[in-house]
Amino acid sequence: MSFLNFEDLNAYQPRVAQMLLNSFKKARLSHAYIFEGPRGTKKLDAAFLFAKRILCSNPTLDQNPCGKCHNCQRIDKDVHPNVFLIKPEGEYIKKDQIKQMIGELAKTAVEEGPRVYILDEAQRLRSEAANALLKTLEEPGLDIYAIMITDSFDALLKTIVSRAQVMHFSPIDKALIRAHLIEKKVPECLAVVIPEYTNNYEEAIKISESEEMMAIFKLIPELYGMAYEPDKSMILRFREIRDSIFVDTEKTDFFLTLMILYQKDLLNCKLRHNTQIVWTPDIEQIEKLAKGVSQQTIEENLEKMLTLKTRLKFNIIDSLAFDNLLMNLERGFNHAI
Amino acid sequence: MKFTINKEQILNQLLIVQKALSTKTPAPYLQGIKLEVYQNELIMITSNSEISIKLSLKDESLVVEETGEVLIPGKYFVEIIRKLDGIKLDMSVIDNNMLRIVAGNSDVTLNMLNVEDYPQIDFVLNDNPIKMDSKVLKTVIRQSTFAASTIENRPILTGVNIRVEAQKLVAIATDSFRLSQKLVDIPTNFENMNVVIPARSLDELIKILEAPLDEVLIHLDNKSILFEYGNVLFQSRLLDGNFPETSRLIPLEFPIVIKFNKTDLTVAIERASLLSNREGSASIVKLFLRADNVIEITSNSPEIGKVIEEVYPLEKAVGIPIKIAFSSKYFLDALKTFVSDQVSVKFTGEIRPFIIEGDMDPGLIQLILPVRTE
Repeated sequence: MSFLNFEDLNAYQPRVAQMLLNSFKKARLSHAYIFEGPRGTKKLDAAFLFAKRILCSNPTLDQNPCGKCHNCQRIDKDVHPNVFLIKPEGEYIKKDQIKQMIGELAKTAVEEGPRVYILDEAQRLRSEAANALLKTLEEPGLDIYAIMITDSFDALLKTIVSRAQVMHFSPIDKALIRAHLIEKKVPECLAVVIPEYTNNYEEAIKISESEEMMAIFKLIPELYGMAYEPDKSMILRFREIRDSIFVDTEKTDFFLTLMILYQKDLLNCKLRHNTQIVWTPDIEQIEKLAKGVSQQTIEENLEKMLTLKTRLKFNIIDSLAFDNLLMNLERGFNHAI
Repeated sequence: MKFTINKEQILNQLLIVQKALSTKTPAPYLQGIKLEVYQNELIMITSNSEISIKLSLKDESLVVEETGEVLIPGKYFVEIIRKLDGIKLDMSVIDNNMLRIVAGNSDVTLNMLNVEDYPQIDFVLNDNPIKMDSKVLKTVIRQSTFAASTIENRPILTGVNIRVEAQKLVAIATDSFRLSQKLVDIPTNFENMNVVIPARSLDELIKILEAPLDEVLIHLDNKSILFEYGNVLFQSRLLDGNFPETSRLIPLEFPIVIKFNKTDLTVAIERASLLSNREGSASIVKLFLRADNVIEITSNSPEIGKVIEEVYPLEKAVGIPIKIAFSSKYFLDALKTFVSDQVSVKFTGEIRPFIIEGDMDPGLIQLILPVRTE
């Protein structure tokens, strides 16, 4: 989904929208930009909006692309010959891709008008590729604009950064995503929890529509609920259902993130920060659980979860790690009850 | 869109436009042939973004029932039409996005591409185009494109610089180790031009200039160059930037001049280059003008062997004895561009560039940089 106009962008990234608008108004565009910010902050959409505005055959008075002309429509479909989108091929953006692009830019434009090249995930430029790009960045041809998009700004070469104007995209306001989700008739509890997991609106919707993810979501209160029932066991229940969680890293990560949120709720409840509790429908159970354990135990377990979250990125044996975690958790509650 | 046409007519034209069909580009819309059907004219457009061809087909056999504009997957379209039996083809659009071709006993439907996606290619015709003989143009292209660079380190060198000024057309190509320059007189005074055309585009252009037609009109725009050849418009993008100044590279005085029979020289160098374990331009031969006026061509690869060829010049060589080494590939490439039987090789020194000229090839200079061996 690309932005229709700068007002759309303004809703997500007011600062960036304002800066871009001003440069268009004063006709002072930089030949190279770096759009930098966390995942899901609409960087690519903003780049396409930029391309549309610059190529649109009749932009409106308030600097917006018309969205109806042949140019705008083809950019929306990503088939415009003057807009190049370069993405990593496999792990990296390779030198060949950059060389091909440089060769392309050395020739005159296929169609009349400016040309825009967009490098998505610019942090994955191989160093040879980045170096090949330097000269083109330094001496761009007439009417050629570069936009480099990255979520890890520090991984870019200093020499590239110094040749471009940097635009910071701030994380999207969680309330905004929440409002969107509620608009889409997502249950309120979910709408509060999901933005804690992802910053990306499309991804949030996808999660709320995925049955598997929902099953995981329902599992959390269920697991915690077993803590104070003497004839049930968290860990045994977990072993029954864990196959649905260890399907891929995405689901494992989602599960753990939710666990962390629930654990945080326990802590918030213990500290009497009731307004900050996200799992509102479960408030009774949370209160009951929080009453039974010491603040120290809750904190210790939360810390273990957070460590596990960073470890998940490495090659660890997920099942053992989670068994360990749940055992600790259950023991904490058992001591209390 | 609905029309009928003779198969031979459309096929012949398709074989021309398909030269600009893109095979590699990721953009699917460039793999299509754009067909514009008017009341009494069929226009076909193809492009691989570097070159674009627009062809107008007017024929008695063309009967248009309904005009229109479509984008057809090029490769399948040409192959199907080539293999069809019928004499008359009946083409029509069905269901908005399918092309139906009926011919003889065959009935083919082909999914079309979205014509909206096709780039806006302007074929701009000037009022005052440069007129050229197609044979001359072909010769100029043949004598220059081979010398252009094939590696894209300096994109500008992958093109041929064509300049028109003062009733002369100059074509220059170089890969910075060799240079080819061809000068032709043109009869009338045209507007000056100085452009760099990708060598690959020109190689494609040669294949188009096969029809029995003498005149090519060259239309120049600041973004592109367009060759009008009968009903075919062939457009190429230009290389952006300044072509290096080459006029000072060609020496003016040559103290040493040797005149050869071209064939004798060619075979001698070919034989000498056989015993080289290096490929392409890296294969080196040495030329030695002895005091007794015999030329020795030698090559020596210690692990393979050694060749000594004696070549006798056509006339007594002018100048002092000289020993010079160069790439045999560059030399042979250069020799191939001459139609003359006799060529003169002119030297200024052992580590200075030398040139080749031919009696029957006025205006053609091939320059090669020697290699330092000691």
